[in-house]
Amino acid sequence: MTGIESLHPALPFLAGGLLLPLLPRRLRPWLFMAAAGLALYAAWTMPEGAWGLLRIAGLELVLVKADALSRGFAVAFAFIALAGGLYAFHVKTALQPAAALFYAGGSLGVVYAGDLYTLMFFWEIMAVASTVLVWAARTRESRKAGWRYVLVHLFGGGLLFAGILMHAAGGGGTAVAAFAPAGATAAAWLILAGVAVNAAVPPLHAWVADAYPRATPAGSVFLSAFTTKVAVYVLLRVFPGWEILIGLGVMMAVYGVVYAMLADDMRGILSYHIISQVGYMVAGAGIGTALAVNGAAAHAINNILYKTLLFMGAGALIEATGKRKLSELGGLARAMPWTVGLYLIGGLSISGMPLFNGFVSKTMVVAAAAKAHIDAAVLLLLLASVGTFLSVGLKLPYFAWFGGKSANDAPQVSPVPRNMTAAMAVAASLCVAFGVAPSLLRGFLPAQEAFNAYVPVHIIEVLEILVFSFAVFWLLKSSLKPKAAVLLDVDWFYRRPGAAAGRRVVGIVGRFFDATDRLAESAVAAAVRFSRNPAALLEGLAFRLDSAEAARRGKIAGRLVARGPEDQPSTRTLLLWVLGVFILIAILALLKGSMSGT
Amino acid sequence: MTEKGVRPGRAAAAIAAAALVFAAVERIFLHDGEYHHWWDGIPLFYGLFGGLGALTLIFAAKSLVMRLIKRKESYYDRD
Repeated sequence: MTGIESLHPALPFLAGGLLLPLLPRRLRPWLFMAAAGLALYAAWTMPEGAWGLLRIAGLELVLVKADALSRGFAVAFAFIALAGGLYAFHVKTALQPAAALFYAGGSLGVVYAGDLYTLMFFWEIMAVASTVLVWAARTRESRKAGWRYVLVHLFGGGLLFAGILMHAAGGGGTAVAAFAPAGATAAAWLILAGVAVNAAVPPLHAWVADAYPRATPAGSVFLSAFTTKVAVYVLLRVFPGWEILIGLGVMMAVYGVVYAMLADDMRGILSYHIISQVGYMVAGAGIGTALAVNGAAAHAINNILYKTLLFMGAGALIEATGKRKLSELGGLARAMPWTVGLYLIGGLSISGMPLFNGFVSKTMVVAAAAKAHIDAAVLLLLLASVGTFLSVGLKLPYFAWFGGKSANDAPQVSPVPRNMTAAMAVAASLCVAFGVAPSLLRGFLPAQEAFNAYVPVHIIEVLEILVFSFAVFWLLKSSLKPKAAVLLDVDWFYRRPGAAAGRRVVGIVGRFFDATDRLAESAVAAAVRFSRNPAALLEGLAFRLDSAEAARRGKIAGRLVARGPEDQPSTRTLLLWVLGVFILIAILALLKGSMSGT
Repeated sequence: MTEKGVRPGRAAAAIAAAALVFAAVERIFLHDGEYHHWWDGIPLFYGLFGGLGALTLIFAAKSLVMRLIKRKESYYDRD
């Protein structure tokens, strides 16, 4: 099948992103919803198989390769873009919704990519669009966090691209297909490292809790849904059964909950829980059995639903109060009963409470670890679910909406836009539907593997854990009271010593470029003067500038110095980073060439 | 350390009641699981795991990790 079989689900998003800024403000949310709706229809009706074959500059591209795995992720992404569009319906600006559309389009492009170059192309669209989403908050801290975010993703993209080039050059082909864990090449490890950056695998994870809490409420809803889950999709597609992912996934699950216990910013807590929940999926990919891969895919789809719901709840609270830290909140339950009720559905879902969607998929992953006799992974994943319940199911809602404060001590509340509450209701109803009737998920999972989570052993196991950890929370909740603080994480390395070293390097390079600029200016001025009166030189007169010319040169130099005073270091850092990535690619390609030559 | 307003006697009674209920439920419903672990014979294992796990996480996070990683809110302001 080489022709166009169906509408590519990324296309409505990308076309919508281009068109949206051109429309009148009141039509923009409608266009967003129409684009997401059309994409959802296209993903839902996508036939299985490969099509959209293109040959560009000698590269054979496969735009669409659809199967059960891609169907589940694509439908979930398109659906959550639609729900996100409803949540952001009151936002009439152009930049944020356009970026969100490109972001969703990039995600669907990756999910359907049949070759690694197409994957890389859409991967970078996601990186750029998500950076713009962070910047769309238009605050000083979002601007700075956005720069850090784009640098990390450029680094990850560089690793991925270097791996793809090496893989293709080594005769591995360009198809998006599973790599065998045994005898893995350097190219495969590079691709894995590039994907691990987007999956937020420690120590490559700090960008999540750095950038997501700084976006707008609607911006962080979109951010929470796509990047990490697209990376999970690639892990499931390309790296199933890679045992290193079991250890990394389990570590992520526990790491995220420990940080979330301490965080004060609501979306900071939720961001660390993205890392923790993605840990289950990464571990599932590592176990690699049919049950584990199904469990990881199901958990990704469920996570897209409940995590978006949780970010929507936190965003509604921020929209209503202007406050984002738990230490500034409390006593608001009576003022916003719908928000707290719907948030709690998300809280119970992520905590794995029976009858909510997280229970089914989390149980699948843990059961897959048990079936593979990896007891340590079973216990650590269960420990992570204890921590999840403590912070997202109990600590966050308790201190945000209750916290022992009366309504008189609570912050002022402005009404939450109805579209926000409606979007939360849509996501919450699916969290319950997939929890009560897990068979609804069956058509969206890659393997034909029967699993029933609703057997006594799993229900009793989870209820015991939740009841007794609730008791501990209730007895010790004052010790979990959040305090305003900065938590050091791996981002410290590039925000402190890395930034200082970067400033020195940028300073040296900047001075070099400035000197080169001055030299070029002088040369041009000299050439102009010489061309005006070559005879003067022939007559042996001294070659000097008159005072008027010197003043003019001064003005030019002044303009050079004044150019973009604030953004210049960041732009240079970015360019240096790009240069560094390409140098890395060149070195690796040379090494590969010399190795294959010997 | 316990919360103000929480009566220790009542809390202990509620936890004991929950333990009894779960122990009874385990005896009725849990016989042969699909998977076997070394902890299968320990009654109320998951309850103990949940309670002790919660305690461990709270103390590990609050006492050990917090001291290492907590800084003033203005720590990164001059970046």
